[in-house]
Amino acid sequence: MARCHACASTLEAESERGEGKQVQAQRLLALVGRPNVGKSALFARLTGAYATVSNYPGTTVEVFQGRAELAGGRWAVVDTPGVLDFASPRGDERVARDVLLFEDVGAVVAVADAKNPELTLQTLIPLAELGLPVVVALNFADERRARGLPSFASRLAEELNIPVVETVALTGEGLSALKAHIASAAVPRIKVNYGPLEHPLQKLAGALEAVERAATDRVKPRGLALLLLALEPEDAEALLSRLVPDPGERAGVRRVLQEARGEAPRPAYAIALARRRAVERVLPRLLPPAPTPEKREPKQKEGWAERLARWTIHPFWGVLVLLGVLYGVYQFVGVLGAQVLVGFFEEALFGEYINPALTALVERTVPWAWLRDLFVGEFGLITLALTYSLALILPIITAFFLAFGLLEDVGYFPRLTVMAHRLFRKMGLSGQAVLPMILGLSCDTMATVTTRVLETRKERVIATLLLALGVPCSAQLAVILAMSAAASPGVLVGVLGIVGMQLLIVGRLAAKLLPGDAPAFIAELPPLRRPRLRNVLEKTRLRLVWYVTEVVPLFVLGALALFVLDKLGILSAFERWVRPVVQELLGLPPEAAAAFILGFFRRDYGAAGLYHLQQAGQLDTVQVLVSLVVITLFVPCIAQTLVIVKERGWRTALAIVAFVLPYAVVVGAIVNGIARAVQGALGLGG
Amino acid sequence: MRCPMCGSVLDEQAQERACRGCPLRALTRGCRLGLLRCPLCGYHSLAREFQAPSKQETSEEATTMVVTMSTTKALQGKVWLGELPPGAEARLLGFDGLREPDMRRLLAYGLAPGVQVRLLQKSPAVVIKAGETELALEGELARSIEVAPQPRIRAKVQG
Ligand SMILES: Nc1nc2c(ncn2[C@@H]2O[C@H](COP(=O)(O)OP(=O)(O)OP(=O)(O)O)[C@@H](O)[C@H]2O)c(=O)[nH]1
Ligand SMILES: [Zn+2]
Repeated sequence: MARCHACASTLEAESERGEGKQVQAQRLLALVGRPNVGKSALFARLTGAYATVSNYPGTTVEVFQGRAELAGGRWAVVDTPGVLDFASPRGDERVARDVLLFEDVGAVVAVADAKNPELTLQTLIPLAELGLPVVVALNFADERRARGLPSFASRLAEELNIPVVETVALTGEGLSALKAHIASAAVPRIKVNYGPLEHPLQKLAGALEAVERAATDRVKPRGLALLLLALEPEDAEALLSRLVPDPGERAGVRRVLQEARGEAPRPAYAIALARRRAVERVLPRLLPPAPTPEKREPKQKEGWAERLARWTIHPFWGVLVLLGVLYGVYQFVGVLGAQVLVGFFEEALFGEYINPALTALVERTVPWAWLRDLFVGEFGLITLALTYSLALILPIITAFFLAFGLLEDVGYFPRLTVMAHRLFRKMGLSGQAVLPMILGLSCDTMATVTTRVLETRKERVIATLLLALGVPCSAQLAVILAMSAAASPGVLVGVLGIVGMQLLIVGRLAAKLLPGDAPAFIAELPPLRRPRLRNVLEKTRLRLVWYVTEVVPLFVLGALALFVLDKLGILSAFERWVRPVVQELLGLPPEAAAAFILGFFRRDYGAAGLYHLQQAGQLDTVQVLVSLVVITLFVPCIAQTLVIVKERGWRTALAIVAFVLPYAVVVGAIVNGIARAVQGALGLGG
Repeated sequence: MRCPMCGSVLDEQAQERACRGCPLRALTRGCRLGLLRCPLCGYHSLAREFQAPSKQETSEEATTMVVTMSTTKALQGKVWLGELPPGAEARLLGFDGLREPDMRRLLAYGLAPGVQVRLLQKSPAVVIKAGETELALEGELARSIEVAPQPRIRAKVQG
């Protein structure tokens, strides 16, 4: 997952170099490789800085930067998003491509899987063609040994004339060797013959070579030419305008590129296939002569992890596993986190000690009533902002982050995509979108950044819309769990069912309205791995730090706004104004209006307000259901809206917000109407 | 099993292909009539008419399967990855039925013509194993990938 914008030391690949960054003084080391090969784990080992490590492809969608003392010098080290194909239309892969092309990369650590010589070669070919000096880190050496596969490190080094080191990022094995070899990084010696494509390719490379004012002269024209040919035309044009700033020169290159395209139908496929053939040519020389093929007995090796892995994607057991996981999370977050921990924090700690003590202190020291109210009044900074954020949400969210981090570390989520992809197909999304949506359960803002991994604009827009509409983020989900655990588990089923239905309906409609179709679903399923407590705790800690630094200030801001509105009398005017909506349409007490105002800051803030109302006994079960549905479908929080503007443009952002707000109210009104009617029909008192 | 008409040896896989397209199969999820149909000569009759194979034939199952499958292919056209039963091994032949972006992505995941894969399951998504990599594919995609089914290599118990 991308770390949030404000607190991550990201090196924006798009941004201009220079401007006093220390990057120029040091040499730049880029970690590059396929998704989920352990780049971030190695990055952490090299720099001591933490980049998010998760057992699923697509964890890193932005560039992380750190520093390291290697091979006798200081290096700036960047961790890049995983790349399957440098010529892909995906935003995250483009970020990695831009680092290699436009940053002053001194050496590349090509991270690959020690279990997989073919994909290792496939990673190295484009780097060789760009003429980048490479050190290969063959990670997962422990898993390779455990599976009894032979090592191909020394043969690879010999064959391609580059340093190759086997590593285990988890334990740090091989790291000192890796550091020592960085100075001897070399361009891999592997050449691919592109057959009929060679002629147009060489012409294009020649044209690029002849460009006088090129943006980059560190990479070989042949590698660039291959990229331009393989890219979709509009992406190629975008790259070209960065590579060749001069419009006159650019027009010349563009002409050659168009000619080349004319000569070669389906160039991307042809290039990929030629590379594949080259891999097959080299491959036999990497593997030891095998006198007995298939010496290992495959059945014998199946351990608990493999068996569990098969169950998680079984058409029947997979559903049970999913229900089991949901139940476990509900118990852990809704019951343990929300009832036990919140009970302790809110009622005991804050309710009996902190709040009374602070209130007494304020009353004693502050002479002005309005200032006292600012701290300890109805919308006081202490009584509202701190109580909500620290006593109410922090314990629940901690439980949630622990559970979520555990599932991430095990590698359950990619397997969930197998179970869910058909459902997503109905919303016009391919299975690839499952992961960003699940990540939305942790934080919608970060998940919106992660939608970069989706291939088509249509998919990115739908996923962004659905995240904004109805995917509850961690804190909000936690409050939902807490409120339904207090009211009745049926509320949870109701809220999730109703909101899920809205996602389906809106997704379906959006899929109909937007042109294009979702690409077919292909996903790699990493093996289930034993979770590492350290990583889970570290990730939870980072997320909590993010919560406290990023979210708590928003809570304070919200309380401040409410305080001012209250003092100016606007709040009661507003409450009177929305009363017909809140009271008549949604059937909620008028105090809920204040909760919804908080919802404009963050949805979970609003949810916390509702939770408070529920605790005060002001909401019956139907009201809990209705208010939760409305707040879940409510407008995205400020941070998420800003990210939507950044990633999708302000028009899309505006359209999304303008759609979501009335939609939430209408759905809430319908739910209220139906629930009241049912309640009436059953003869239960209202 | 052996076809009483032409004498060719059948296996479950060939049988499954033969049953495809039978309208009854869609209704009853599997042949409820207990009929079998020889994919080679098209003869169909009650299952018991297709004699059980002898001991010797079982041990040769691996080789006979190739024979029946490749002949089936010659008679009925291409074999697609998504049609094989779980557990089958196959060599990928071509992606010609796919759109270019999908072809490219398959190649990026290391799936190329010539690669040997094992089908692990077909629902809710097709899951295959190529080397040490496990991949999930949409069923529709798998049904457009042409393959040559392979006999399963049995581990020889040797010292
Ligand atoms: N057994 C084992 N697990 C490892 C090793 N290196 C990394 N892992 C695990 O592999 C998973 C992926 O690691 P990451 O570092 O997130 O991979 P990445 O390449 O950065 O992934 P993306 O950011 O998605 O491209 C995590 O669960 C790691 O804990 C290793 O050497 N051995
Ligand atoms: Zn990463």
